Amino acid sequence: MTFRYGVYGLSIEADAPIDGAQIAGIPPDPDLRVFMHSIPPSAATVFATPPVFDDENVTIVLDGGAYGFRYADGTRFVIDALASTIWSSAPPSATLADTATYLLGPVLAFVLRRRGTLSLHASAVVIGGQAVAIAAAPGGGKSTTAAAFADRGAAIVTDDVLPIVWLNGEPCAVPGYPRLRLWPETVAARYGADDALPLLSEGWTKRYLDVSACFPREPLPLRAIVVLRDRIAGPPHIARLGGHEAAMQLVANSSMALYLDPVMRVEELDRVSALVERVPLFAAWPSDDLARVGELCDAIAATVAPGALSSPR
Amino acid sequence: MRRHRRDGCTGRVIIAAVKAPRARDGVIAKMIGNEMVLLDYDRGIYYGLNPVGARVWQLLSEGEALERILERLADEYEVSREALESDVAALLLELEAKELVQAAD
Repeated sequence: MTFRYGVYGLSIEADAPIDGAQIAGIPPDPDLRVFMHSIPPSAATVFATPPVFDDENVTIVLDGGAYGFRYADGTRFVIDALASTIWSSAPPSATLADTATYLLGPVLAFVLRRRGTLSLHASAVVIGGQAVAIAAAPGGGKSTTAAAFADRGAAIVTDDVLPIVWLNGEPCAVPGYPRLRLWPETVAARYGADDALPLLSEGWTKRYLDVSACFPREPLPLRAIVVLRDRIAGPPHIARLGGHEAAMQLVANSSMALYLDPVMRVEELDRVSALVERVPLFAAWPSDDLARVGELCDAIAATVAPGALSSPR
Repeated sequence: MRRHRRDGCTGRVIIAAVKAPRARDGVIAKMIGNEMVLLDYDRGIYYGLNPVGARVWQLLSEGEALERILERLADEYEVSREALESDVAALLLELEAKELVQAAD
């Protein structure tokens, strides 16, 4: 039995359900085949090579163009050299939902980069029919801000991983999957209790907000990019960035940037510079008071409103 | 790679007489409007240059001598020669410190 999904613009055929992914009709020859239950011995040999990246969370190995990801909990992924097949295996205590949580986050973000797609570490919301990206470092508040927009009725394009493609000469935000991943304290602050929303899976502390009701199926023009900076006392503040400062912010907030090889970095700079020329970029300083996230939404909405965008500086 | 010297009386950096460095192999430059981003792609290090810094990098890439670079900048920007030398010296020191330039052949 196979399961078919559309995630980040990739058509995916899997041998098991991918919890949270959007079911889709896909072509007979999908972009990506995912095997959720095991890694064949021929592919697992990649783990015999020395790591190219190693921290307390993940070890990454590279052999003959194939990448291996080995997470601290024992979950492993192998991505083939063409980034067209993923094999995964998990410890006995893990569930398919646990594996899907890795897959829909860093693993597919890496696959996008291997396939040459610029991808930002960002959520994206729909304002006035166009996408507005909200980028930030981990824990920087992008999902919280997106949840505040969702609570106002805005559609969510993606959470955490934002692929950007050019359609008819226009940069567009590609939908991810219809969930927002939220920390328990954010859930408690917004929805009254930290268990007000379901867990991503039993093995994770994050919970999710289902945003499938008005989830877009197609890429949307990218109207603006907002990079969240350090939280400040008092009301949120937003300012336009341009030139090299804007480009550096995008580079700093691109997905899986730590793992890019030199060729990928050069490609990324080309794409980032093209993006900066077309899409206005803002820095925003959220309030350290979570209750004021609505003011940040107001500021972002006003900044990207029709007629509000002008040349930087 | 120390390529500048200081005036013994004023401490001012004197750079006009020395040979300009060139971009280190493995560093690429990308114009963003009138500014620039440098990428040291082996080390994954990025560095932003303002319009004047971008212009200096362009002139270095053309192989211009430092004296000629200073002359051209003086023609293009309304700034005193002293301020220009100081700014260019500071930029070159920064580029050297980040190993984005190397001694010219």
